[in-house]
Amino acid sequence: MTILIVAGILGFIMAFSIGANDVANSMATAVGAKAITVRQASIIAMFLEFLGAVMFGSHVSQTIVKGIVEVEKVQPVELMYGALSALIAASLWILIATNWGYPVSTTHSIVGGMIGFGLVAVGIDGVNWKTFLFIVLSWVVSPVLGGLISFVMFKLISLSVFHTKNPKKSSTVAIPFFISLAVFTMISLFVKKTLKQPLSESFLLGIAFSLVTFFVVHFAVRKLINEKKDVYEAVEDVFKRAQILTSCYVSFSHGANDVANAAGPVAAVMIVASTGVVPKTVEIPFLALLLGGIGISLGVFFLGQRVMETVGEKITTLTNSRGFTVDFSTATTVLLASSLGLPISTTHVVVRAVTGVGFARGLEMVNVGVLKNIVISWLLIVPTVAATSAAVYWVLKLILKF
Amino acid sequence: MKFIEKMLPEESPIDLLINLSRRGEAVVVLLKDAIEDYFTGKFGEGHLNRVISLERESDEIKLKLKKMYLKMKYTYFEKDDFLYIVHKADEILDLVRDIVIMLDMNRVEDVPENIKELFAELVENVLDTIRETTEAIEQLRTLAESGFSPFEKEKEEREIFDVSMEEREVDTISRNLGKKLYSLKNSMNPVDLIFLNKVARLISKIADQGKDITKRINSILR
Repeated sequence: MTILIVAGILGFIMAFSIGANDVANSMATAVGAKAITVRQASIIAMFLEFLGAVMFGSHVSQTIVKGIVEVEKVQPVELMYGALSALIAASLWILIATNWGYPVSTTHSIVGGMIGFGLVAVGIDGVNWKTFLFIVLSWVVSPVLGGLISFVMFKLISLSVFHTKNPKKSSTVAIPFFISLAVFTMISLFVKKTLKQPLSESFLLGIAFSLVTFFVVHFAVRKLINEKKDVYEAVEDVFKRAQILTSCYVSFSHGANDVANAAGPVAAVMIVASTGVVPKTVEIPFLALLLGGIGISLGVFFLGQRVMETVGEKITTLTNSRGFTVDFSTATTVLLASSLGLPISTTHVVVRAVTGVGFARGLEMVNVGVLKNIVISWLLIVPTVAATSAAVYWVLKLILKF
Repeated sequence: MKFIEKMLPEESPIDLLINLSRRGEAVVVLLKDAIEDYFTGKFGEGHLNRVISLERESDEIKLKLKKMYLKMKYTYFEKDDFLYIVHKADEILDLVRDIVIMLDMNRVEDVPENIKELFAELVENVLDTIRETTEAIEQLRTLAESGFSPFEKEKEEREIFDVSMEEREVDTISRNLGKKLYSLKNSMNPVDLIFLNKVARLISKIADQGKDITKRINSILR
């Protein structure tokens, strides 16, 4: 029971920290482009992060519990304390890094933590290197994909709206199309991956929901587009409203992926503490996702707003059509990764999505030097947290003699 | 993680350029007052100080923009094009400063009324050219943000055309002024005559900067 409480508290702190720091990055584009206020952003984030966490969070959490460490090779009790060590090490380093002002990813930290314990508990064979390699590959592929989607999407928006004879009229089709595409992705992935329904059903439901969305948004845009006389201003104004929807999409996707960083290790402890075994198919306890979801929401409410304000204030050069592109690309990439059970860094995807728009000459200028910092940050944090987690696990084993 | 805020410039380069060109416009307004006051004998240090203060501010903006373009990538405009426009916008302030310094050096008395009127007309038209240039620069933002949409391109082309028309008008007035001045060679002090002609030429050179800016904008559009 004590270990369950300790894991719960640590998981909650981790989720709270995600809500306080990471959410700001995913919502900053909307706040910076003045599509939503900080207050609106935090309300959206609180609800949608929670929804994403409980509806989609189990896939990535399963990877954290069973994908990284070869659980067949460890005793259930070892997995329980191992998950706790990973949580302690990751929380510790996130706290230290935040205090020093260094950017670290919670995703990379928790993955590093699980590896560290696996190495000490079993040795080199304790880590599922194939899955780990796949995760590392996803850390490279996901930002590239985010960048590619945003590049293509910006070009598409440019061609289908701004470069037409009547941009106002064109936006009544293009904007609903992109939003219904987001709805299609969310619904079909949810039906297929979470409700575990056949592909055909997920597609049909996705199409049905996206068609309804298309017509609703189409009529709303038609009404809005004539409110402003200037063509460019009118189109940007519609993108501004549309960004409210893409912000929801980003929050939902972020919650779906990042809740695992907190809920994964807690779930491992919960499963072992309640059953005493590690079942072949791990079902993530709803309580773990709930805890993670609530933690993120409270983190957003209590501290996230201030971070959003600071970040949002500094990215004022982003227009609404660009913000819309960045949000859409990020959310789609993160949601796809979540449905594949891949723990990725939302921030890295956002950064690449911004670069993608910049590469399409959609931004005033981009500081690409930041990309170097990203690589350095994850090259450093994974081994650091792994070593700390290994040390914590070793100490726990020595004291508790399990 | 604070990656996003580091990726994008804190201040918009186009906003800074617009600020620079508005300072150019403001300094030409000061020049208009300075010329009026010069011919009525009210010209003084105050004119010079206000111009120099604006010119210093513009130098700071120019430096900031140069630094930004050195550090960042994937810009709306090619570095050479953008910095050329910045340089030319700054040149407007430098020219006005030079003119005001000249006016401070030499006082010409008993200037004929028709010459005074032509000077006033010349400055007024230069001001119109610079105002149109500022509008063309402001339109650059919408043009870039719309991904160089044909609709916004057309608007920009109209602005460019307006600047070229104004600048042509300035040239005509400047030529007339020169002719009128040299027609006074037998009655006016030759040093004063050359001095006034030089001032007139420098004033018309301000409009040339506007024309150069819009010419470069035109090449960006192609």
